[in-house]
Amino acid sequence: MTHKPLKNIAYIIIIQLLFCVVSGKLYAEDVDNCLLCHKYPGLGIVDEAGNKELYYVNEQLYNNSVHSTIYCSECHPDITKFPHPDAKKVDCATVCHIEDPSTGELFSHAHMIDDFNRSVHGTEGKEHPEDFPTCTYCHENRMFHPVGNLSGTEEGIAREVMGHCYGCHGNKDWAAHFYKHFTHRMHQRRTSERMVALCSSCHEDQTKMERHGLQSVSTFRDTFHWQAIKFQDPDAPNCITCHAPVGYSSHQIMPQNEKGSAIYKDNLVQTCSNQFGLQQCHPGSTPSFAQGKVHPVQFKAGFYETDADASGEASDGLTTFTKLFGKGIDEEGNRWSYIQKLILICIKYFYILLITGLISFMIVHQILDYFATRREMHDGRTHHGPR
Amino acid sequence: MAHDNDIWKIDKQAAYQSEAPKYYVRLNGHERAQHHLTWSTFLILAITGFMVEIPEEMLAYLGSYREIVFYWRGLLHRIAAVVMIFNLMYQACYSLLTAPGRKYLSAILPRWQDLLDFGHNMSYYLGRSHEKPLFDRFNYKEKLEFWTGMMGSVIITVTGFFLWFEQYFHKFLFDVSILVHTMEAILASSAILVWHMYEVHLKPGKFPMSRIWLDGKIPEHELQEEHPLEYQRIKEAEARGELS
Repeated sequence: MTHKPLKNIAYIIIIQLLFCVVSGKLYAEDVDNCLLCHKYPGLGIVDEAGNKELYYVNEQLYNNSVHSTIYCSECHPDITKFPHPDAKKVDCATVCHIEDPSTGELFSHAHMIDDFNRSVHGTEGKEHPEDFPTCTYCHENRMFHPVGNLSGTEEGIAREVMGHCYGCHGNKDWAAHFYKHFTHRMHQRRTSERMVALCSSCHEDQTKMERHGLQSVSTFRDTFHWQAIKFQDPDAPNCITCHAPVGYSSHQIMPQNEKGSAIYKDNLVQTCSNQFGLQQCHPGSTPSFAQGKVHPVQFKAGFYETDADASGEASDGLTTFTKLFGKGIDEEGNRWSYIQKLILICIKYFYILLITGLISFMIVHQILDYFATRREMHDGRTHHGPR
Repeated sequence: MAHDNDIWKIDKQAAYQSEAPKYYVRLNGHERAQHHLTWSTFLILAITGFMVEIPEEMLAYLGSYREIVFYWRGLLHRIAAVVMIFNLMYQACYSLLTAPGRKYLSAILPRWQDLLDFGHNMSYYLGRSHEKPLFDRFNYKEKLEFWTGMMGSVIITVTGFFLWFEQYFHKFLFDVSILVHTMEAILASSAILVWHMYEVHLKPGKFPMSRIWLDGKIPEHELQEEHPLEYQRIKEAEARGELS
């Protein structure tokens, strides 16, 4: 408790430093004077479709964001005059005028975008390109969010570590910026729940998934993986944990049947065991364990998934059941997977019948027993009741 | 014949108190211990098991305690499961290796008479028969509960084992196990709620509960009414001087 005021003072000093525009170009000066207009919170338009678009830029937030050293005009090179009603959306592949200190070249996201375009999420040659995520769908212009104070669990800047930076680096702003740049990337900023929410925002949309021959992943919420996420178990796997584990990148997610995919059949043992990760999920997992479908075979909605999705028809349990009996082979021509599904469905129906049958019988039996016992008590034929 | 009935010892203390009703021992110490282990592990397993089905919105109330709750949920579930398995083994050893256990087992084995008793009882419930069936030491309701419980315990133990050590087995076994484990849990819990809770707690005259599970003693009049055949046999044995 005693160090609290000191800490606050340190924060004030650091924030002061953040807002001081100093030499070394650590925070983009507003050289183009964009904030002359964009500093007003209400600045925006309502387009013809009635959508509001807000053009307000909060300078304080921007200067604390990952793009704080970039000039406005570096991402918006097409804006050269005022007013600029035809301004294009930002292309993340634009080369910006900061230097990558590791190569000395001008920085660009272009190579990440190349990777991404070759991945399952790339739009080239695909129908409905509007369904696919863009860079900014997943990446907001996020705030720097450094790791917690090393001497406690509170978030913020670890002044102890900052002290080490200041020891060598004369430019304190540069050191603070580098520190934040680095620590920001050292841990997962999105919680597993938010990660699942992000991916599901498209992948749970059945109509959208059907357009691309995919199944909805709504059944992930039937799995034990989700139960663990629900309880915020730090070891619980989200989408990325299995689809872009150690050695893969979320920009390079490949379709399941390609060798570069973490869930390609030969890579599954590695993906399930995750032996090079911080968390070894299923150490010693065998090939027979690491196969089959992870999402769509649970006891809830999962069984109805495939057929309803594939046919696009409204399908109740019974038609799914008869269709399955008639079908025999699933979309990959895999008879064993069909038999598995059939066995699971039979077990499920067996238990549903058993539970409803047995429990209904028990309820009726006990109701009859209740009235019989009451009758006995009324007739004085039993020891039950007041005696 | 004498040894056949020697578990039905009269509770001397109760019997010799003036005016006190006479009691018979229905569950001996081993059987009561088994029952205590069964109900306590069942309760823990049901609560910690169904916790994974709590909707996300409700979990939000737990806030930052979710993680620690999840950790203890899993740990308690496994500890209770191990105790439950030991209790099953205890019950098996008791039923096969001890004299009162073998007697208990032979009394609870299903017989053709149980089906007849069930038909008879139904017609009594519906008013078509004026006499209740005469039950022996265990009636068809108790036998149904015992054997479904036993079968359920074995099924849930086996599937639970596959879920616990999932990575060593085929994925399909995991899929079957998680389905069967959950369905069996739903079945067992609803059966206990409807069948057992009524029989020993809610049935008119039983509320708040039958005492048998605590001291194992059944009053003479209750034994006479609910298990008349057993009562008759004990009385005959007593008359022959075989029971003291």
